[in-house]
Amino acid sequence: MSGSDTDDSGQPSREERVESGIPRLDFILKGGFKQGGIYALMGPPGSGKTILANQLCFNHIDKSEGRCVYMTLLIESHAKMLRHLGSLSFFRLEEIPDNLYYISGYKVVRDQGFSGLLELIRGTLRERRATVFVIDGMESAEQFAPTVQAYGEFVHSLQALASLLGCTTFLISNMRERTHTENALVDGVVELSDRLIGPRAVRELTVHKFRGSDYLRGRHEVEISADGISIHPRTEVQFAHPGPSAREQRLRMAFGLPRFDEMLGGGLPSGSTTALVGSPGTGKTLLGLSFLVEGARRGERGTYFGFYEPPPRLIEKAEAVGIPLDRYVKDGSISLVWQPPLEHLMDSLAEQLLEKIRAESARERRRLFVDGAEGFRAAAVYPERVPIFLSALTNQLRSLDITTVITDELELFQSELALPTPELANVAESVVLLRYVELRSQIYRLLSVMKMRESRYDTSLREFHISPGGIDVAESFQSAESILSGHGREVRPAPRRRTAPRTGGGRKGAVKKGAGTPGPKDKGRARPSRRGR
Amino acid sequence: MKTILVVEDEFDVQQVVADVLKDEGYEVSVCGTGTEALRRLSESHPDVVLMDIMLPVLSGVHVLEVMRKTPGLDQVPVIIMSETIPRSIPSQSWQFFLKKPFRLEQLLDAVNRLFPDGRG
Repeated sequence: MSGSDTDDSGQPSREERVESGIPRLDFILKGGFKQGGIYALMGPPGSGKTILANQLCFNHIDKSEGRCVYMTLLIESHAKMLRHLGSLSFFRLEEIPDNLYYISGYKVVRDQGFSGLLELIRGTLRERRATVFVIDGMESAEQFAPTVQAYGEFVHSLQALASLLGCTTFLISNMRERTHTENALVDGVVELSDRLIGPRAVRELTVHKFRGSDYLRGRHEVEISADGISIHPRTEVQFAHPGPSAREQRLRMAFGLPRFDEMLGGGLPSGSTTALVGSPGTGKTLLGLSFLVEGARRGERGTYFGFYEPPPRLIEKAEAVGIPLDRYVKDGSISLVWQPPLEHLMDSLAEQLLEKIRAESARERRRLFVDGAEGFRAAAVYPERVPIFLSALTNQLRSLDITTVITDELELFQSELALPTPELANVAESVVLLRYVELRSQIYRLLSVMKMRESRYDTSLREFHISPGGIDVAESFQSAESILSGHGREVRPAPRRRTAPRTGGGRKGAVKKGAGTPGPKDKGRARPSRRGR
Repeated sequence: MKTILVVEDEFDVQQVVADVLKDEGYEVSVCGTGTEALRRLSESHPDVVLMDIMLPVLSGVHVLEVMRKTPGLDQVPVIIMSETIPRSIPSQSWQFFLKKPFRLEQLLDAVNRLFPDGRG
């Protein structure tokens, strides 16, 4: 329990909270349920209501040394319920019956009505000195109500009893209308849902009402695992008010590729986000790993957060082109976090990423390589959330002073540059494009900086090679020019032409189309699009 | 006829246990709370009590404590049926423990062991 201030009379001077202990539910409720309050928890069968209520009871016993009474009406028997709960990690049989006490009230309400049931509840709660009380199966009680008003009076009496005893009470029922009598009377309404959205089955939690306190509104993803229920608040709501941004003194975070770093004015600005876009196989992952390894070489910790190659494959891939990833993984400078390509929850991924970084970060400058944005996109139940989600996530990373490189995959064959996650170009300060050019049965790789907010950068296209010797970026734009002009030979050295450094504007800039892999018609015309200065 | 008092708050468990024991030829009475159990026990002494632990108002542990301190009830055999045995209950105060959920054979075996001479 939290909040234990008392006034002169010994009464609580502010409302105490009963923490549920359910991961992130108390965060949504801004501290937990109010002690002595009465709350409706509703949802369809299978949405996790019984698990949530039992988990709350065990957590309450564990954290607050509380005592719980769990009353069932017409639902599964206690023995069956406990057998099902027995496989979950929060379940501790030794707490039953001393601290968690299961009773049935069905026969009493059936034979004696609400007055008998209230008497039974009052006697049991007092005898057990309960601090949390759950009634599971409220719809059964309602069926015995002669009138709607009688049922309302019963809930009202329960509320008075809960308040008097200081016993936080939860009324569990199957899905009902939000305008249901019970919902109007209780202090809060929490809904669990379980719906099919396309092929996916999605569980969500929504707080519809919570008297006397703010809470995080809207739907939040719910996960049921061997540890019970955990809630994943929507990232954009969770970080609606990002903290102060990164340190004022910004450094340059280099890739360790001299010519490329030169193009970037020495490297990426610390605390910024960079989108690294390109077709499969253009070298995005290797460039991102170079960024981490260069950081580690300079004593900056780094994290890889990816969805495709498992760590051994990643290390093998890096070592094959001379990127000494293994050494820095072994000494702990770089941690590899791999999410197998299964069905994920977008907010859960963000949590894992941020919790990992927070656990390791001691306010030091860190590097992060996310490979790639499509992993988040694939996990999105509501695709329209992706732009605001990415904005919230990158804002949070900025406030943690993390320099982030995030990849996004273009289609293998496309003549025009269309970003699969166009909003990424808006939320990222910098955009680096990797592409293929086909010429006379040869494939060439080109690299260009498309955007770099509030920073000088080189706008030229550069050819680059990936070989066992490493990643080699051409010294100038000339080799790229010779490729794009269609000459399969080395062009005559032109008079030394300085590349035009450019300062990116502070405006949000999307990458324009027309800068993709040039087709035959595009030869000699494909240039990075330039926004007006 | 041997008499059995079934003290169980879950009406479905109460009902099925009572019906099975009646089928076996026992005289069965039922109640659903600890207070009601004590009232029934003060009125008549059954040959055996089949009792849940987690009962509304007064727990099975409390009922058992009262029984063992009450002349006339102190020798009435008790079969505990529960998901777990509470630490606070002395093992000598009950005769058999049926872990819920139990099977029909386990129930009948426990009861029949208390009446080796039959039900009459």
